[in-house]
Amino acid sequence: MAGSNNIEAALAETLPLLPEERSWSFRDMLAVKGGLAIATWGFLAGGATGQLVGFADGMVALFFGTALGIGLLFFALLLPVYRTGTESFVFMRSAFGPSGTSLLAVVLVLGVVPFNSAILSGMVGDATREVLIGLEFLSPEPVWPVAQATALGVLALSCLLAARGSDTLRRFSLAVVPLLVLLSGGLLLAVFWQNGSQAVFSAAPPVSHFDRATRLMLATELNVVLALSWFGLAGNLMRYGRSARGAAWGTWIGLVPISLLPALAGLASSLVLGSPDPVQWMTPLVGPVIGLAMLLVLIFANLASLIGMLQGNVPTIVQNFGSLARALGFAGNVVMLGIAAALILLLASDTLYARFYTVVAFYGAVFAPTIGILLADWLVLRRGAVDIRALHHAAPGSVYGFIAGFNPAAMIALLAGFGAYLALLEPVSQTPAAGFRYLSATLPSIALAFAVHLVLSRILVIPRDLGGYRRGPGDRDAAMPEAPMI
Amino acid sequence: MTGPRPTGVEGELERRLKILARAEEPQRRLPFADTMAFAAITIGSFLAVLIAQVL
Repeated sequence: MAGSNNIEAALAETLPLLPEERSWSFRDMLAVKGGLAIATWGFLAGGATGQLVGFADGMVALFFGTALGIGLLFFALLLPVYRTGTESFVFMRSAFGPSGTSLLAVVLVLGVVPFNSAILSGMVGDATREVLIGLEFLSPEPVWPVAQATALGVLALSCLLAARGSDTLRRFSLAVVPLLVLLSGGLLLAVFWQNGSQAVFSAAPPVSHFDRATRLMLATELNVVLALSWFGLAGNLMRYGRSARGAAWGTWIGLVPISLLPALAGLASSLVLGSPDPVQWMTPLVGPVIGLAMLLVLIFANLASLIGMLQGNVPTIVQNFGSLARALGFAGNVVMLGIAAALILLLASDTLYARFYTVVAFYGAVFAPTIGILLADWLVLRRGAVDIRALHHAAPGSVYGFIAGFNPAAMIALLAGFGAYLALLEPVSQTPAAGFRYLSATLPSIALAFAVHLVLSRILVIPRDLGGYRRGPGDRDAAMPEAPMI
Repeated sequence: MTGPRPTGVEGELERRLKILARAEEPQRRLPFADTMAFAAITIGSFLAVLIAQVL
């Protein structure tokens, strides 16, 4: 790894990557993204989908919802971040300003990562307890909090591995992902084998007063939002790709088709077995020997995902939370995230799964307009060009400083899109409004934020010469001859 | 692990920006055919859901 002489290599990689650091092949990228996708959230996404629709509609919602979400994320964030080589939220400063971006990072990273880390490590703890009970090392009613202790231990191990940098993540993913694919595919086959395909396809979701079309769109919306929630993490890891084609397809295949393996298993098991959580039904379904082996692999699945999540999100914290975050270094920030996740695990573990869908729905109301604003800014207003040096010096008064660090056009568009989303889908009760059935909530929210950002930028921002929208490539060359232009 | 200093990050940023400005970077733009494929998959995914609703 090419680091510098005086800072740790992982910390240096939170800055724009050098050509020699962008070394991951298609296979590497596929392994890392596949390792991220095959974990608790894959099973839970399938299970949540199975609460809304049957298996056939569930497959439609899972595949096309995920593909739609990842596609939108590609054009708004992942492809620009790959081209610039910058950290995802640093790139977003060109649209939101540095303070606006940091505000979003608080919501989208600090609000998400500890929560997801707690879910993942909690499932590792549950799986480990099941393994020990299956081997008769523990009684069915263990006196000691084995699951919680194991979850904390795995959280600590994932922090240790994540702090070692991107190459550890790549090597770990290459080693475990083939096993994870076998696990997910094996679980899916086991559910079909034990219950029969007819039972799986004919199993009905819980009774709902919504019609089939609305339930299908609700399930699709869920998976669109889950796909969008990869957000900056997916971009930060995609930067390591050697070629654009390998990085893009490795990411897409890892986050769409491969992610469907655990999701389909969760969907099928929630419909016919009543639970998407494989820890609950794996051993009874396939017997103790295979079941215990699968549970062990599941532990590795969540560990791989945890490492990737920490490794991919810490650059955002380092680059967007001021000098204190930088002073902590890469490893220090990994530890801080681990502590936050541990606190959630200890204090809120009973409510985590129950509130998963509700929380994700609120995230959708933020992700969707953010995507719309980024699409308008990168594709239309900037036509695919930003100044990397200015992105890293985006103080108030500088090119991307806007007004007090906030781009007013983007912030108003964000609020408009947020309101539009909530008007179409009430996230707590999952009650859709008229129009949701055929439009979803994400797409209208994206469209409104896109339009508002374009209009307000042309009325409020560009005429005041804010945001560097009027700077052509020639201007940038003359002003800063050593500023790389993307 | 070397203890990072805030000034070290700034110095490293400057070093990287200079290298990137001089480096002959390979093409980081996704080929047009791939871009169109992703666009078609994305738009087609939403259309597929709408079609599935009426089937």
